[in-house]
Amino acid sequence: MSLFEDIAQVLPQMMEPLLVTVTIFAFTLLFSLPLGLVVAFGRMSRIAPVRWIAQVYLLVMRGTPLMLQLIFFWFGLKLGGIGFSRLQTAIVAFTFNYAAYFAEIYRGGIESIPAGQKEAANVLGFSKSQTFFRIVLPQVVKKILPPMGNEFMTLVKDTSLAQVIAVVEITSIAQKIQTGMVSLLPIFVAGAFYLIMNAVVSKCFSMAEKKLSYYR
Amino acid sequence: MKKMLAAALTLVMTALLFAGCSKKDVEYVVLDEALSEEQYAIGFRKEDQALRDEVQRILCEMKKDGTAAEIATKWFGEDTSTIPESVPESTATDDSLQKVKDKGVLVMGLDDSFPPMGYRDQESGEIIGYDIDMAAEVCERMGVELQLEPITWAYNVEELNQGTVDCLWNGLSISEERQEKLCLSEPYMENRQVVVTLKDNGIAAVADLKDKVVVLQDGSTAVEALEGRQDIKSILSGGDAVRVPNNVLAMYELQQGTSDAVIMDEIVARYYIAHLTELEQEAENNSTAE
Repeated sequence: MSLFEDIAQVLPQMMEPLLVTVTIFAFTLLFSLPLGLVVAFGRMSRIAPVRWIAQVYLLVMRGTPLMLQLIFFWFGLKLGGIGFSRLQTAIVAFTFNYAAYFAEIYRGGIESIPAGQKEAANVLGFSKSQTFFRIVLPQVVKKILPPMGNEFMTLVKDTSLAQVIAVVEITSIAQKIQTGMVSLLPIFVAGAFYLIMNAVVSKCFSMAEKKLSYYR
Repeated sequence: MKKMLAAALTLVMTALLFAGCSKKDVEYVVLDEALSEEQYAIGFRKEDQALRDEVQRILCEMKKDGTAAEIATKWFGEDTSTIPESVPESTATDDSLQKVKDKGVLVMGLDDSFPPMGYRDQESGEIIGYDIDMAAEVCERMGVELQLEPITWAYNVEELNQGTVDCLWNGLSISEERQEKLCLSEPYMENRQVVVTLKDNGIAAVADLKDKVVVLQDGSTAVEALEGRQDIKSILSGGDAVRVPNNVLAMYELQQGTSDAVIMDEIVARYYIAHLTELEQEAENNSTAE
């Protein structure tokens, strides 16, 4: 059966690009999850200029295509000229973009906590940071899990955009192999990889939700 | 676990679908009449005259001693290169050549999906091709290492000017705009934009394309070639060609009968036809063996 031979031939070539895809995914989360929290605080700040800066950031990052942002970071800021690799530039662009979406999800979660809880904590003698980290944040984490799951899964698929600055990830390698092989098979193999990765992400989220479903 | 199984099943099913489709018996033909002709050259930064002259000098040397013919024959079956045997002595005074020699590497920017000029080998995944062999030989004679840097071809000039690559060497067509923005080598090969169709489609000449569905790769030279031939463009079904992201999809459209013809690079077309015909014969041999 030549189909399985073809798949067997394609698979080893896709392993390194698969690692690139996973690297973009993992590092983007590592940097954008905390950065998003900072932006969310900026957006909710009582100091007006800080709030404006955060609003402009959110508008630009969410209002322009991620593909364009990748091109901007590579060719516009010429990150390649100052020693960034293509992969690092992609991670930078993805981080800034995803931090914007995460920021709004955090804000939605934080603002959904009734003000009465903060007042009660205050009366009970909790400091501001204690109130946030011990009372607000644990509830926020529970509330934002479903929208976060959405973003994580979108990120898995969005990593394919890194190919505009010639990062060799699985979609781009699949397209490259397909031109030499004159077959569409590689792109379906790439599709299967995304599906498997997202199945893992989805499973992790449903496990986390189950674990955090106390008080119910 | 169930999800993994579902994923694997989906993959196998779609793959089978495509494998099943490709069994159809087809014979490809390339029309003699071309839509346009172009020449390939190597592109350098506008100010890098010295580097360009040295590469050109070595290419001429390779033409004279027969190495160039040997490499062309390996890829095209005959010596199709148009490299001149000699060029005027270089008078360039810039330090571009010295810079490359100092760092010991020539970084070659290429689109690694352009068979047979530069593409990924199906089995090893290595980047191979005519341009790669030529560049490797030039670098060896220059005493530097060749570094292949796949880039997004649409941004080739930006990559060059940013300094991430030293040259663009992968079937770069000469155009007025490129002559203005880049320092180009002498033309080293000719290419034509041709019409590829199936024998049974009843298209024997360009005029037969009337009311036919024609596909081509978006952003390719074929788009420009068709723009330059409004007489052909206007007779096509819908008054324009259908644009698909790449030539493999275009060939699928042709094979599946969803379109009647493809306009593409002759060099690539010949590679694809040879490759697809080989696959068909293999499939045929397999079925008779069973």
